[in-house]
Amino acid sequence: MSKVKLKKYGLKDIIYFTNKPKEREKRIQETVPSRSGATFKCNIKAAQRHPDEQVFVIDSIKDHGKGVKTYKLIKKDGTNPAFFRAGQYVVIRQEIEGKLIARPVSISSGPAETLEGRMDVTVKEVENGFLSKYIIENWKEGDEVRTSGPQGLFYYEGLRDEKHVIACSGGSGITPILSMAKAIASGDEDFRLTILYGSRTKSDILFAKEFNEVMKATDKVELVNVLSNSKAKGCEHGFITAELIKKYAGDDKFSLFASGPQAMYNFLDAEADKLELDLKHYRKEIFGSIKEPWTLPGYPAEAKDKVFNLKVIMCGDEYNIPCNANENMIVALERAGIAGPNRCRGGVCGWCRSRLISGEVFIPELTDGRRGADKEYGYIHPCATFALSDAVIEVPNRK
Amino acid sequence: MGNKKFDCVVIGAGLAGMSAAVTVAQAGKKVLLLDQHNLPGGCASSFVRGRFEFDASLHEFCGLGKPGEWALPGRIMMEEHGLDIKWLWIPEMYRCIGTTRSGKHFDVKLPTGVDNVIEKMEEIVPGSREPMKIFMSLAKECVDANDYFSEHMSTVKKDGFLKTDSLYFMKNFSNFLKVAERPFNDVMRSIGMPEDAIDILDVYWTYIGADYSKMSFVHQAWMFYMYAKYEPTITVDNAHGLTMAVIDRFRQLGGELWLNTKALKVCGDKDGNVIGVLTDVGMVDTNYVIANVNPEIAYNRLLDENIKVPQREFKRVTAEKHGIRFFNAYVACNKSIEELGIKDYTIFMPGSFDNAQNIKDSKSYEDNTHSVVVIYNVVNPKASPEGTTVMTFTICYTEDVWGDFTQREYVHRKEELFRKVMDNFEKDTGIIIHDCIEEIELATPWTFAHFLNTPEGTTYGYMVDDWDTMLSRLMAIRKDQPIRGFKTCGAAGARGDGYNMTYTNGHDIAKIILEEMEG
Repeated sequence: MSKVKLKKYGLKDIIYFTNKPKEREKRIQETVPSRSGATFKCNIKAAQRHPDEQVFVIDSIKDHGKGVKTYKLIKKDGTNPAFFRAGQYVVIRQEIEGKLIARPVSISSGPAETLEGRMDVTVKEVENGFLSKYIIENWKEGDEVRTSGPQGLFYYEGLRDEKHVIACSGGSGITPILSMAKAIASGDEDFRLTILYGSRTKSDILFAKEFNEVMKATDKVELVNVLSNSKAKGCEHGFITAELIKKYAGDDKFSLFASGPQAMYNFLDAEADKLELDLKHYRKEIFGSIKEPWTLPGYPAEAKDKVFNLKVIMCGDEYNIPCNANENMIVALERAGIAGPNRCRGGVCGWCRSRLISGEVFIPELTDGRRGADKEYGYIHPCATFALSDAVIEVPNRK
Repeated sequence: MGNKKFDCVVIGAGLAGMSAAVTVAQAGKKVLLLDQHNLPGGCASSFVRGRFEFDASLHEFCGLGKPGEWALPGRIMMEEHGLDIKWLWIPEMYRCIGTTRSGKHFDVKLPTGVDNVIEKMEEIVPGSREPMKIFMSLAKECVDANDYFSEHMSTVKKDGFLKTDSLYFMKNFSNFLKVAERPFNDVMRSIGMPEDAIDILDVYWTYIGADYSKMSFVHQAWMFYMYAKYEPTITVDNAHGLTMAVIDRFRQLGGELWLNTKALKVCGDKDGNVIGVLTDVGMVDTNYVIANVNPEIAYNRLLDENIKVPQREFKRVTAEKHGIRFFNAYVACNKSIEELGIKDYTIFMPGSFDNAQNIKDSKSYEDNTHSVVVIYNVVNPKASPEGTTVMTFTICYTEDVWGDFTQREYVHRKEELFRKVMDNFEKDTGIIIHDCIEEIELATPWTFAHFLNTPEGTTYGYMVDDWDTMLSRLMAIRKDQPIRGFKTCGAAGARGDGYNMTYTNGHDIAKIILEEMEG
């Protein structure tokens, strides 16, 4: 292309160009400095919604029996807890014998309650559950409790989910569903919720009173108790089958939400197949690490019960710690008192993301939530990774 | 145990921070790169939802060039830094749908290739061919001038501005000197560009709130030419893959990366010399710090009281205006692009092409539905599992529009806005997605404020304004970094926003700190 001749532009424009930086400097010099590290509205809102940490005090405790308790929490500094999406969880951070242990725990109150300054969490003591056992036995009124901000993706998404949700729930998996029901009653969520709540017997049912209150306040929530080990009036009997789901869904489109133990998912996956539900219409809450990895396909049997050496590099410092092949790597880090950030404990959130420098590991496909490039460059999520040999990993700072 | 010692500490592993870290490490220095998150990359990141991985920000990398003919950012990344990145070139500029100020409706797709674009514009708006030729010629001169300038940034005059070879510029880039800083639309009119053609060319940056009646010609010209000549690019492994490639190179060069590690203070001795960085794992000794941090935040919160910030710097960061912030909708559909009938990678949907009206709308929530969508699978078949599609819709704001929403209404506002955007998209294109969304994540300025810690959740640093142009910032690149041993880099820096600009800026700043190291 030959050089263009510009008629309208000439020397004055060159001078204008040349003076531009000086004009800028003049403008700067004429400015009265007013910002002194001001905090901006948007940043304040963001910090309220996504706090790194929330410090609570236990206001009261409700014992549901059978190792289940609900703790009503109020913020220590008097501010409101972070507003959340009904169905989300918080990570409890508890120091036990000098070691910081973290576990996700469901929020059982509704989001509207945060505006009244409170948030409830419900804890069920599980067999060999290190933190749940500690909480049930030790937490008392007035104690300080530290949690993360609200986390997790198990909530109603109006842009994706159908207007009718069938929630299948078992055991303490009912807590996020209770929160959703409360959110519907308070007007924070808008969908029809039919809950198929599986329990062994009538006496295992949690939150009967709370659900009754919700159903008095709104006709969008319906609770159906499904008893596997007994028969009772007004309750369904058996397991939560495709047939039962169909019975309550009717002919309308629906989304299936599942919240419960792994055994329930194993059963429900097959039922969802019968209903020909695609992934869009079948949402599962899955947190908590895989137990007994040796039962999964591809696990090399000889690794089971072994204890390996895990060399951990953190901010230029090195630690050598034992790593039990039967437990995920975050547990090893917690036992050694050097666990860094972690939240979901199910391989999904990526908060514990670390670099595997050397060593063989087992990563169950079911909980492999890594980014594509991380797989390629050798990064792991320790909460969903099991050592198969001595290994070296580089982890984020634990603060 | 003594403090750990480094030749240089880089705070913030965003694109500019990573680029600076690699540049300094490549000069044989011992470098520590810190990031407050457990993941490096800043905006250059991704996240997983269900069976999908979403690119957090990389729509189109501009001006990379091609193997054998890398343009400036490409030369730095691929030749100087030797990064191993799998690029994909996008064989189209953009499709845009809307009504021009003259009331005509256009639905056009601009191809890549300088001659192709010229011919396409003539076909859409007759009478555009000759002005387009002039525009492309001027644009090429801007690119060449900018390259020359970028390679000669080391001589400083007494007043702190860069010294340039004016005679060389007069001889080789006289048109550049004449039009570079003149408003884009004025230059277009002066070369006889038809008004409808101006509207269609303006769409590129209208969506980011740029006012073409004020914005310097060089900005649009550089970008437009680079896209036309070299094609926009993305990476096979999305932005996180790009980040991993940079970090991998940094480690090969002996660099250390500490994640989830916050720099609390940059510390000085009594004479104001930088002596270290206090982090939440303790003190790290160093005399040189590069912060991939907005300078306003760096000056007010990061530097301790021993390090004196000249008053002129507080004036500067007050004068500069906070730039663009985004609403992003990351959408995954359980249908393929073929099933959905999608053929285009980038579609601008301004509604109206009226730039002035769009600028007004960018200051409000209700009126702003001017969106752009990028559909990754059109270029990258590996962007999502077979039979699915991932796309990102973006709307930009020029003010803190989202700061007034309450915690309770926030979710509803996000959903309400996306429904409007989706309705417009479905009407404009006839592509129906509302019934096949499998995963969706909506990010607002709150989200970016949370992850990036930038003022008002801005992602594009300071607004490239008619008084605060890229060229005048570049001329003052050293004047704007007056503290010995401490520099800032990133989107709020001299080159402004964008992957190419921030990566190049990190490199610029690293070169300056290396000069200071050499004494």
